[in-house]
Amino acid sequence: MGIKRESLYRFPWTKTDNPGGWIEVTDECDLFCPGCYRHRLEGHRPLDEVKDDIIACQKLTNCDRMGIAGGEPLIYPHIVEVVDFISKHKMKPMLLTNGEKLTWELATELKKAGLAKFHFHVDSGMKRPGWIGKNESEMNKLRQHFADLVWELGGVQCGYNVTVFPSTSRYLPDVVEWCRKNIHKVHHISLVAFRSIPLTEEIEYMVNRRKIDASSFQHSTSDFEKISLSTNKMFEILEDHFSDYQPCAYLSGTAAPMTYKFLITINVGSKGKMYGILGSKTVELVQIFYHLFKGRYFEFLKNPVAGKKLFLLSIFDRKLKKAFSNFIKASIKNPLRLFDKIYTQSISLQQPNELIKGETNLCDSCVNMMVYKGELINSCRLDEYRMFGGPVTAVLLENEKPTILHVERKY
Amino acid sequence: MSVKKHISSSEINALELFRMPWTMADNSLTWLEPTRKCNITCDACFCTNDPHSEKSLQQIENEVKAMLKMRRCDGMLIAGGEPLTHPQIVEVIKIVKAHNVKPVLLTNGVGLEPDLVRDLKKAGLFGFTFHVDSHQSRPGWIDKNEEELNTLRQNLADMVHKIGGLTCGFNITVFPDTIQYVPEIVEWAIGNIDRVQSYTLTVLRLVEVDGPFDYYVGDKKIDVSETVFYSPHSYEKLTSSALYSEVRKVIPDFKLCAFLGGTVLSNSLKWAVGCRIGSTKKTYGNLGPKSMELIQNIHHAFTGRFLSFTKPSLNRKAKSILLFGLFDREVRRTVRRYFSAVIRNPIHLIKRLYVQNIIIEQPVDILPTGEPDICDGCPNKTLWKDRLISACLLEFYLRYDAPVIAVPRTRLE
Repeated sequence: MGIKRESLYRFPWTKTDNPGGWIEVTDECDLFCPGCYRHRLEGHRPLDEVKDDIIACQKLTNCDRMGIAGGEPLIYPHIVEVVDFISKHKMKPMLLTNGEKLTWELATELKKAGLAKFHFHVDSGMKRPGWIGKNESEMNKLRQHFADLVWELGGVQCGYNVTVFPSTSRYLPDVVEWCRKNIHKVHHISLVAFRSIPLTEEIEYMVNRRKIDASSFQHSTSDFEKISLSTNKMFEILEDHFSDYQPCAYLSGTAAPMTYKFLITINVGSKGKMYGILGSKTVELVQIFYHLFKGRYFEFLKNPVAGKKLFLLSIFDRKLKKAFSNFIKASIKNPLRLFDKIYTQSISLQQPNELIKGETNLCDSCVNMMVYKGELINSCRLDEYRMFGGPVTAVLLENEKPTILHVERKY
Repeated sequence: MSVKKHISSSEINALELFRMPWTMADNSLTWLEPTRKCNITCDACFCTNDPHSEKSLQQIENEVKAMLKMRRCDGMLIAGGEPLTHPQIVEVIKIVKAHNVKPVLLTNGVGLEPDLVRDLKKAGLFGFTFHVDSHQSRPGWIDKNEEELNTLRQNLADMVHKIGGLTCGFNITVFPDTIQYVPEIVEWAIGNIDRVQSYTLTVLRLVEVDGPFDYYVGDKKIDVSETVFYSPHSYEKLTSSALYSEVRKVIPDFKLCAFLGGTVLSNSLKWAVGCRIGSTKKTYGNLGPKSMELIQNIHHAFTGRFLSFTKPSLNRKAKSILLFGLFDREVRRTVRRYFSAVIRNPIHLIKRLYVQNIIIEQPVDILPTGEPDICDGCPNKTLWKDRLISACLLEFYLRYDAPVIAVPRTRLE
């Protein structure tokens, strides 16, 4: 069936009115994932500076959730305080972590500090001790471990980040199948196509007219096959496998408007049973009503239990109506179903920052903007600023050769 | 050098306004150029007058389709060049109308006669935005100042009003030597609130030959004096907040309700709108941010598009808009002022209330780092190859086949 743009809702998010904010507390990490875009240059950041940036980011983006990232935020000594600070400033703290350092005690402390969501980065490309050589489907076992832990903790949402390569894309249906089975425990998954800086003789990279050595980015690559996966391709793979896989909302690219930077499908179901999906009208209505009453947009609601009241919206939304009728049918077969909790689960396909015909194609209305030296920047480009002082542009050089700028690295 | 200093809107806190939910893929407007030919010359025009640039109807239809595939919108600004020079302009309107978007002409109005207005209306035209200011080589109006040009604006507004059913707006580019006349324009417009539904004040932005930047395309340095929008010398860069202050000289309680920020500086006031409520005799107040949020989002929920232009018949129903007072503090203030006027003189009760949109714009700024700060969520995107480009930058893309990059002459460390 393909993706039909006219039936999709373009999220109303913009740069200054966005559900997402981003803060990086450290650039150190306990893992070395190949292809990681973050370089180890500064170590742990001073807590005061982190707090200032959180406030500035909230002011500039009007965000509802604040992503705490890095590096690995759980090795940051003041992590509980950061979560508490964000929560006290009326945002939902979300931790982006590999989960290696997550213990029951720490999880309890984070919950007490007001953590709204764990976002675990778990994929087979991470070279995680004990999991090397496992494929993406086998990684579901680790995902299950975290999901169970968060479920037992209660009151905190659980999401995943999976970086997807062309070589691992065939496992996508297994991963999504696992999510669907765990709809009561798993509320979100981001399937992110791998992107990096392509190294080729045809392109030279510059910052302010000075050529830079792009191979100093640890994630740069000359293997173009590796960065060729798109959201459209991932969609096709999933569409082939799940008959009811249809997206409802998206964000497009800044340079190439037809690309899908975010493509979201929202499942509706209860423990052990899927009923259907949300249509674009429901997403639109909940976004605008939330904004009307709270003055901001949201990425996820505090409580993942949408409840049966959600089905009221099926008067506006044909897809939700279908889900509702599936629920009714299931309840007729088994009346106990009527007492089931109704959950929503979002599956987000993503295609990050990339070069298209020499121009940088970013997510239009990126949800992960962060404050760097007082200004909002795309967090995926942070190291362009840290290493070279500004965003990198790609150019085709013809005559004059500028001087090469080298970067000092700590390791 | 701090980029912070460049945030112009010091007196207005943009973040307290409603950020229009307009984006690249879902916006109120899109820009169409049936021709780049023009019959007059305006200072600071961002388009080369090319007499051979007329597009065929087929080409225009293809462009409309290509743009609507990439972008949802409510209206299409048919601009140029001067769109009325296109010999088949009536057909162009029909094409746009057939794609179920509102065709609005952005024209200088030279030679526009009531007969043509009727033909255009019959073809489905939604309305006009007239570009009228004193820096145009307009036959019969050379050397007139902005205040004197109000007579021309009046003629055009009266003509459109007489035919009826068409929205009428004005575009005024404000130069350092014409900003003193802004209050006269505002005064004139507010007195014509029954026939002028919107007007846009845009501060001048040009590329200075002697400015602090060199300009490159790829690695090739270009001579900006060969482009249309160069300025031979530095000029005073007026800001949108300067325009705001000028408007408030006439309407002291004027307030903005919504805005678009910059692509780099998110809280710079690149585009902002204030909606004024009043009768032809008396002005009462504004819409606040909550009203604009409701208007845009409810319109989108029902029609799938964000609202651009409205029919004059809607603008004259401002009394029902007062109901937004339930959600909007600013409207409650307007309601109070209205009722106290009614108590003093009940005749006001039978007077019709209108809404008029006052838009202020501050186009592209080159920041000290060389980064261009353009309108984030720009409503005036147009087609270039298979992409959407801000119409104000199209000239560069057409000329050089690539974006022009500004590089500071002195290296920033």
